[in-house]
Amino acid sequence: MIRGGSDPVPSSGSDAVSRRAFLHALGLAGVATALPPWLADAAATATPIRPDQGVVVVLTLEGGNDGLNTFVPVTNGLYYDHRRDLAIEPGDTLSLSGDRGLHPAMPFLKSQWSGGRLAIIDGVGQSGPDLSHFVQMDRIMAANRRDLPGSTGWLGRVLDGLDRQPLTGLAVGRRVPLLLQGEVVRGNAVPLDGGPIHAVDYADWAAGPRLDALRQASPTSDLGALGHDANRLMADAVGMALDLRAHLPSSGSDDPDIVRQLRLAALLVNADIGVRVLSVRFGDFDTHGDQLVRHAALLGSLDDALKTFYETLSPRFDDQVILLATSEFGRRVRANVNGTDHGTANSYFAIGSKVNGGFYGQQPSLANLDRWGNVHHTVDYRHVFADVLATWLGADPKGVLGLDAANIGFLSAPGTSTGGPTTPTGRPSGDDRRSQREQVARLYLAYFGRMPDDDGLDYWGRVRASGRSLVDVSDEFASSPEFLARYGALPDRQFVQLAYREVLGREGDAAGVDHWAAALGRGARRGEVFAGFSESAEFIASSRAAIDRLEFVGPLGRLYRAYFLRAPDDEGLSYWINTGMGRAEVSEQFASSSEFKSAYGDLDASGFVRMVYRNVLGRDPDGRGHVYWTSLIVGGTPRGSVMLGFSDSTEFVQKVASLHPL
Amino acid sequence: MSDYLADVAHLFRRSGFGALSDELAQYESWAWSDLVDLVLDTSRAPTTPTVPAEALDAGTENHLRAAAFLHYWLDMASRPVDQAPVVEKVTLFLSGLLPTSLVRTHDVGGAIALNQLFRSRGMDDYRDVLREAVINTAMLRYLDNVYNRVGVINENFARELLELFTLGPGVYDQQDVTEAARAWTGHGLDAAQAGYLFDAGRHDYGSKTFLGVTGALDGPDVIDIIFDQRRDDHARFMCHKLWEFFAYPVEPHQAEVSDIMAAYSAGLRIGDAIRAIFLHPRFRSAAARWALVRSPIEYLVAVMRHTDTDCSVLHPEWWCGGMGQHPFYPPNVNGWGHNEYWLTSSAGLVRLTMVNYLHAEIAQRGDLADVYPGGASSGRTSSEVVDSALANYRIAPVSATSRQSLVDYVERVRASAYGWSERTGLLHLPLLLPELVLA
Repeated sequence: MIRGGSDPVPSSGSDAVSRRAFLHALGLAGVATALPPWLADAAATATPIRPDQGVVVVLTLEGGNDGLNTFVPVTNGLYYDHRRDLAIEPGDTLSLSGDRGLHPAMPFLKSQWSGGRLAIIDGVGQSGPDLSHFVQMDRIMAANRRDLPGSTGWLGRVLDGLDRQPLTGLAVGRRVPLLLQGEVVRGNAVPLDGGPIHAVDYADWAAGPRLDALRQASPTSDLGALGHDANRLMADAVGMALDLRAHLPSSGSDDPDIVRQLRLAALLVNADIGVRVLSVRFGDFDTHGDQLVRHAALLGSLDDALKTFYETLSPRFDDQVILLATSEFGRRVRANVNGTDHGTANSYFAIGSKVNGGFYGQQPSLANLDRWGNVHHTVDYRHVFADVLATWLGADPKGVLGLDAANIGFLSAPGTSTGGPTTPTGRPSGDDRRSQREQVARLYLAYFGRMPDDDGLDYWGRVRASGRSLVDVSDEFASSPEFLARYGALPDRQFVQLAYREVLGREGDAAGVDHWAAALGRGARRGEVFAGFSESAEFIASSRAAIDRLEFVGPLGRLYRAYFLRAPDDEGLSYWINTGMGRAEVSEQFASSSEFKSAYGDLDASGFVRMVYRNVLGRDPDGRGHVYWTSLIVGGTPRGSVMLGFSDSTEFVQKVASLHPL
Repeated sequence: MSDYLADVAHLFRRSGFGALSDELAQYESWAWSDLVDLVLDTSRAPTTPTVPAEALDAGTENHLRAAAFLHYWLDMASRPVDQAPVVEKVTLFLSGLLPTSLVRTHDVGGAIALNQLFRSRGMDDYRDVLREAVINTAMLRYLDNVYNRVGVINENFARELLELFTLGPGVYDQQDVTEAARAWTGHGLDAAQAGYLFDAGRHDYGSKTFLGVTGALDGPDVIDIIFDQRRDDHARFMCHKLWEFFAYPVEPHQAEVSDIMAAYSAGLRIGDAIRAIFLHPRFRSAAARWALVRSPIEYLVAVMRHTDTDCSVLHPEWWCGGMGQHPFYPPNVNGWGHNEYWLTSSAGLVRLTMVNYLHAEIAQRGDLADVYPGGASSGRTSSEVVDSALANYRIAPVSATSRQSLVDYVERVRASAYGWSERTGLLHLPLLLPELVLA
């Protein structure tokens, strides 16, 4: 490796793009404003989470989501036999792998898969499945040793063992599910609209004494236990509103319920008030009838909501939040008239930067069904929860669920400052070189405000593919003279503040700056901070246009155009990048293609060069150029190398760039 | 408050939406059995008024039609304790037991027909109510029986009929679900999608075995078999639900449930079971009083009664969803929960928001403004203004802890810079007391 040639050095060349062009405002303005003085005591009850603590958002798809039509087994003939008109054709799915396709309504989830952030756990269920929604929902929310409906939920029992603060476990919306009911602690519910939160307003109508009366209501009541609960609940509710009002908008929204729910969930994490566990519920997935239309609408809303969640979530929590989707059961393999009845085992899925993307568990056989036509499970649902407990929440699975962690492997530990690198390693390699290169490109943008040059991108992409983490790369960037010149002398706090301005194009919110400064104080490296920034949802969103363009204007995209006179398709790009071939090798492959040979094969050296000038650069060769390339071919240079030379010429680089305007 | 008076207030809360203080005074000397007769005397119910045109107008948006009908219903429910509000209470009970959702059905007409069915016959034979409810157009749509055909059965309706409408899980197995679904094939909608139609071409005339009975069973046979072959199981299921709705939470096998089963089993009349509950000694225990949380609908009706407002002022449709209970949009086919289910911080904050709104409406009305001159300068003690505020809302004497919380408030506000807002607080806080939140 020639390190000198691949050091990231700022350049004013044609690839340099203003950071301003990439960064646009996100809907995060106003978060973490200073608290009015009268709220100071109330807000003091909220304790931020530590950087090594995980937050889990459990998304319950109520009614029984059809996992078979969500993660379609596109090569399984039995699926198509059983599902008939309800089956989703392979070509209609968003391809996940050779034999699985994603429901077409979920492009955002596909992007998470491509980014290695989506784990799909197949065959999740239990012995003796019940076909009742309510029995089954109570079982999976209770998740106890005997796998029976109970009076407490698995996350409620976790809350019992945590700090027992009122904001640690929150349900989004009106109801508190069994999931968040512990022996002692019960999660609070946050109203979906900000109105009721903002109704608790000390500035309004001299409401102070009135609200104080509610907050300090007698903890007991002559009316007995429920009277006591009612009083305490009102005090809790007013206290919660005081804690939250600075973080939540008061305005409503016409978005679908689930979009509003997941936006609120992200804002609750961003508020950094100690939330560890969030419950979001969405349905009705009980598609006995009209399934194709209803299911597509449900998944489409869900996809919008997931996108909204990650667009809203503050980047500093990206390594500390996972989203786990469950459902009480899947659906019957065989379709009825236009829907599916209740089934058994299902696919769960998890999203997050610390999720190890890929398939886990085992797809149940569609040939070996029970007497009602339902599949047999391959993974006990409690094992999925056990890994979340052990790896993500630092809780004891044995104590909470009555069984040990299964180490399914879909999850790495949370946080940036303890236990390993920021970016998950050990993802299935071979199919994500492209996303590794995109990460490198984002790192360039974050550090230097420009896209990488070809050689730099190829070099660092190979470094990533060799198994080194993005943080390793980031550490190298952080030792570059340019970086040190700009940031090296700054104390941690100013460093973080400058990083917010330079990378995210905004002032850091107080809590965010505190968080990163504290992490640095505990020994985190500046490279880790920058990797966290560059892989944050906020930065990924703001740099998306540039990153989407990356490979089209890069060496491979140019080779495509030079050889075949057309823009590559996205899948073709992924294929060639993921072969791991260098561009010279790819060029040789292209040169041996029948398409290329049939176009140029009969031409002699001089005619070939003339034709390439016309096709690739759109002009006739100048005398010197014509002689130079012709002499190379006559001297034995392969035509593929000539094509590569054209493809890498400044003239062609600029031409291709102009064909993909930002 | 004497124990007997407390029991009388308790009976009015459970049989209806609570008594105003003057109503309580009127009936406190009545014997218990006379009171039970009074609250269950459906002949005292006013004639059901005509459904407002807006609720029936197919050209109006569904949520507006639903709101118009909700106004009609809750204004009807908000009536004196001696006009059998129990009818509306049972209508609410059945709305949760046999729910449909406009999200799925878009069938406002069907939902209204169900509500009227519950009102007109809910106190009577449940078998008749069920027979009519299951072929209601909204129900046929909600549980997909419109797609249930010979050869390609749809199990949705059959499963919920057994699990949620009549027996509860554990009394039947999956084979019974499948066979019941076969029996209900062909029961769907007419060509105009406007009314019930039995389509013989879609019905499975083959032999079925359901709960041990074999024959060429049809859908209505399934209902008869449930009530005739599994009457005890059904009676326990229903009496458990009724006990929990009207008295307090119990397990299905508990003695209270067993005690009232005979009364219900005789004629499957819900009214008979309710009478047995009200006459049960444990209904009148201290543990039974305040052992239920008012559902949002019950709370909103109680608020309208105490503030002398109606739906055109309160707009219950603005609040009930946020509190967790919109009657025409249940969360799922299991309806709603009870007690702690309603005690969430979300619902508490919506109550607070509602009171903020309602206060402004009441203040505009003017007639309340001078009811109880407050403030330290009024010369009235904190206790006096609190009693005056409670009397103004016609809230019967409250518990010592609740009264003290209001007195504390008055003293707190008088000591602050906001003494002038005392009356505002006294318009707000009584409506948030546990006495209003609980049933």
